[in-house]
Amino acid sequence: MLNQAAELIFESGIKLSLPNESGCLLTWPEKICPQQHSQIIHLQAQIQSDIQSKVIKGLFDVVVSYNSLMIYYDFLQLSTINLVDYLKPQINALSREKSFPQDSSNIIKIPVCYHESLAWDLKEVATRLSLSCDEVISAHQEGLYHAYALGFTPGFCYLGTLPSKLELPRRATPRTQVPAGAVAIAEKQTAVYPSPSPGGWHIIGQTPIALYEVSEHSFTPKIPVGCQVQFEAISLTEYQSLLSQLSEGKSGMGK
Amino acid sequence: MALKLKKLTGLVTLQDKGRLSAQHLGFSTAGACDENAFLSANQDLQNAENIAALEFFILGKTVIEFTQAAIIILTGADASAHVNDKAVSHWQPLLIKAGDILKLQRPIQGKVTYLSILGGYKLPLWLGSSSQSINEEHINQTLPLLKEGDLIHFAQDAKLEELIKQFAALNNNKKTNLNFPLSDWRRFYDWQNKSNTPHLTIRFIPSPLFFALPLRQQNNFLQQTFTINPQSNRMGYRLIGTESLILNADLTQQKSGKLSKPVTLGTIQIPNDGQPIVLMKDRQTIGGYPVIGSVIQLDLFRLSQCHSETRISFAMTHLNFAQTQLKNFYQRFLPKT
Repeated sequence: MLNQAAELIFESGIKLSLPNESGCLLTWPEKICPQQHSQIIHLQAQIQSDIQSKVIKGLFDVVVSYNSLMIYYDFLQLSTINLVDYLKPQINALSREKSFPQDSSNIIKIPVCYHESLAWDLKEVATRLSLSCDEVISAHQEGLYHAYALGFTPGFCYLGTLPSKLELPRRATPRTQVPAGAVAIAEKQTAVYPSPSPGGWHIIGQTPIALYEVSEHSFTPKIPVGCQVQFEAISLTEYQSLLSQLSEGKSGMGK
Repeated sequence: MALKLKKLTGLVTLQDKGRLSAQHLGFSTAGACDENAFLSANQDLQNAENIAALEFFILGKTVIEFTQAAIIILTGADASAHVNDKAVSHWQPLLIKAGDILKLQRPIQGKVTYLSILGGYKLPLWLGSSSQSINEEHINQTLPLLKEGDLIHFAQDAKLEELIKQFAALNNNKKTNLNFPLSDWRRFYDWQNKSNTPHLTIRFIPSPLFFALPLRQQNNFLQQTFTINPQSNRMGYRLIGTESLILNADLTQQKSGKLSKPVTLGTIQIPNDGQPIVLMKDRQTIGGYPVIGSVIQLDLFRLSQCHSETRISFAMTHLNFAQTQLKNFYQRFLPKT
């Protein structure tokens, strides 16, 4: 049965499907919602902990997004049936929990400079939304954003949800290069580009801080999934001073 | 103890099986796109399975100088390899002496060639893999992307006398040489094709969205022949069909959803223009386009070797079949007692 594109549908509305030889996809009802997402994060954490403590073998990775969770596994080590049997009780348990604690103590503050020299698209965005630049800036800062997914490039975190007055489709023509630290918006999301890359979102500011820490054996994103993020305006002077402090710090460290 | 990349054309990267456990951080898996060629290379050299190889993707005129002796192998597409202007075989170990010059050329059949070395190259391991990911170079933990003049060091230091013995042993041990000579390229890569025109049927596991499409659309898709957009790359192969697959928005919303989700290797996406994209090893971890299925991994190894003129068509299969095929494939590379 599970060999077909059958979906296992749980009481809670969660669906389990098997897209390919090594993936198992769980999909929640289609919405961008912190409460629902906290279930997804909770399950991701449980599975990751089981991997660490070797309760289960043959799992490579667990990736979350807005309303989904993908388990990547080695079917030669862990058969598909055994994987599904491992997941079923955990999925069923999710719907019995009243709610999942959101770590409200863990709010990540991102300093952003919205100065026109750095906010490349701010004027255009304001015009298209029939707002003043200041209104765009305060609306952007107002939000307490939830971190839904890491993707696109390492450390890039999709944050939601923007106040609806800031919603705009992506740029018609993406830029071939967006700088590291660019703070951007598109549709219902906002994000910070962690590294230079192509980018199709509207840049309304820049942050001087690093979006990830790298060591020889680890990569730690500044914004992990499941946390909450707030943007705080800083002046151009503060931005430049922070930027030089941080790069001095970096050059003082070995690779 | 190194080789020097004197002349490069096309994309050259170091690849092993890829970075499989860092997708949750946004890292692409990377990895050798033709695992048949990659794994065969290591097996024939009696290397550990996951030793990184040089992958030449879209190979053109290439010149490599060896500063020290080594035992190497070239697998994948036939690149008309010459050592010191003398033709050498692909798919079998070669003994190289210090100062030898290896020349490669654009393959006629196939597109991706691997150069592996006995003992492997000396490479940093980053999050479990030595694979180089073009889009992640700035993170700076793997070797910088390769360019002309670069030296790639060997992990092992061996004298010529030792290598001569090892080479003799490799040639005597016929058991390891399970892989076919070049004339049998057809047996793996071109196995269904009875005609002289390059053609590949790729099997895919349909998604719930595909099964929900009107039969007319399903049949249309299955009956079409596609070519490969020459701009296809290690992130994804864009296919060009004669008819676009225009998906009903409500059906897509219901069966596939509009919110971006994690995407597996081989995922077939249908963007707005209705022309399918098959996601390959350098794909991003999350995708927002509607998904109609996933190509079986074995056929992705074949697909990676297809030129843009190859005719591609799709055939439905199911998970059980895909897993059995892949299991049988990987079994060829298990160490033999």
